[in-house]
Amino acid sequence: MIKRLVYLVTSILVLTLISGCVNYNRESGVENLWRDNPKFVKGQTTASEVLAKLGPPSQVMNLGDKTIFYYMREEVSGEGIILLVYNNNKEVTSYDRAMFIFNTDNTLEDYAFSKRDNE
Amino acid sequence: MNKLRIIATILAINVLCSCTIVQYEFGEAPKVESVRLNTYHDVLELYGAPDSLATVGDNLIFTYHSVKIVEPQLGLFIPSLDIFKYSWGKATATHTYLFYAFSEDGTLLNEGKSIWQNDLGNGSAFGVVFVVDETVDMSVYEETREVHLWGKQLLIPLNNAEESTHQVISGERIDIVGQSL
Repeated sequence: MIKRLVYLVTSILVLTLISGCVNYNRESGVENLWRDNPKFVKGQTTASEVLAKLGPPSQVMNLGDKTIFYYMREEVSGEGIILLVYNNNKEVTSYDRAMFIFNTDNTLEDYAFSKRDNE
Repeated sequence: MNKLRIIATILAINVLCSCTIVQYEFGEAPKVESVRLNTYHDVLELYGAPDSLATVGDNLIFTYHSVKIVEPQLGLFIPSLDIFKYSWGKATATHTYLFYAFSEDGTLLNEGKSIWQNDLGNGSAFGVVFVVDETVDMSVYEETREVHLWGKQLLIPLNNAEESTHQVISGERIDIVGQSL
């Protein structure tokens, strides 16, 4: 009888404390093909070649006679733990970015990718 | 004495339930290095592609921006409504912001760094105990960033487009999480 009671109380406690975990992930923006190590050479690579390798940019700008391609991919990851007594939910949004600046002759003047944690 | 403690603990667990910490992080601003920067080539080399960029006149603007929001919530059981709780929460956003302005030839004209906090207010919610709800309105941080809509907005005839769309197309608008500049 006592054993059954202990089992019942333990079960209720476990159910109360470990009631749920959540984990989710979503992405938006362009595909981050620049992470596949395509080769870009300053002074040689043209805007057409960048477009061919990475596809249409998220944004195009002009600075005087120069052209800027800007690519962005957004990733949201969330995780949470739902105990009945205490809950914790954390959502992290990270942005992977690439930027290319072209000279008036459409050759690459400079480019950069967003830095990652280990860079 | 021990009995009193047990009863107090049980009461506390029954009344104070479902306390929650909700956290949001948007982007990550780079750690500022004490290096002399003269051109956008230096900035790109050191910090990578900016979080947002815009051209204003003949000048180019880079920004690096991150937001961290923390919303602690206090949850209370509602007597006789076993699975329902009343939550009260308060949120604070901490911004880290780096700003660089360059001339057309790429020379650094201005730079700035700022870290500040916004009190996002407080709020309360009534809900079931196993669901985490926001008690503070954070919709401004959840809007789609302008850069994701840029291509779509190009399809709108300029005459019909709003002024803000025109600003985005002409690259005059900085796209920052939680703000429209």
